[in-house]
Amino acid sequence: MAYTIMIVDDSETIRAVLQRTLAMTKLPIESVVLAKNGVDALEKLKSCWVDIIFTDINMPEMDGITLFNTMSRHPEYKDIPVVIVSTEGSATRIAELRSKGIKGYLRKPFTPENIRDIIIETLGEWE
Amino acid sequence: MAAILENAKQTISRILSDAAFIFTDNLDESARPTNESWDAEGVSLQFFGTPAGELHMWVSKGFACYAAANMLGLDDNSDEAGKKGIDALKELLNMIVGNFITSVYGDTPVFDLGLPKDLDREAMAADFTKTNTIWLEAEGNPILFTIDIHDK
Repeated sequence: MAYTIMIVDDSETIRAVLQRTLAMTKLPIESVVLAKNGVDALEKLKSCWVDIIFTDINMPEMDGITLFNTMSRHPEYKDIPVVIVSTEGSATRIAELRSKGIKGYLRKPFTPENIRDIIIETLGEWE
Repeated sequence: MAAILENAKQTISRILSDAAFIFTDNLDESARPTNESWDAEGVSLQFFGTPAGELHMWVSKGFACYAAANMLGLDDNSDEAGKKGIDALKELLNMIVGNFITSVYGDTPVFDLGLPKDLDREAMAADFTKTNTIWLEAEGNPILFTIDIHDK
């Protein structure tokens, strides 16, 4: 068993960079599910289970906050940890997101260590 | 504005090196291309809050592919790097703007970012008339940034 991780971002480049950086964390990753916005993520969640979701905020069709709010009301998805991936560094915004239940905040640009720390902090150390 | 431009220049250099292994230097005024001669492509990104504003980024055609290749670990002549060039440019600008506004205004105010957009030649002509500009060079390629900041 290993982690299944979902990446939600409208930028194909960032999806690829995140996927590449995840591979550098040396964490046991079973698979990575890619989605291009919140709508696409919710559609993909119907057919696969994920351990954690990394999502951008600003996306067309459905942004990351709406995705999180929708998941929070869904009995099967409400416990999946969501990490926001963003360039913004406002402490006010981060505190607001955490108060709503967002589990982590990954600021771009990021390193493998940043991602590794967030996954371990959120899901626990893999044994 | 001079302090903001200097802050922006430092943020731009840091993001380009951290995210895309692109190392920049100041571009001499004599080495700057003209609007008519420069075959460039550009992207823009707005931010909303107090204040609001917009940054534009222009690079030589082909340089966007180089950025994409560096970000993704690809050969810069590959088709994949070619396809992802503009998308990579938009993401770099997104990182620059997000980090720039925190660096200038601190981490208390909340800003919202727009979605990055492509710019056309008309926008480039307008940018060549602006004073709030930063000219850099990387790998022999000119890079131009313009910054517009307004109260609302």
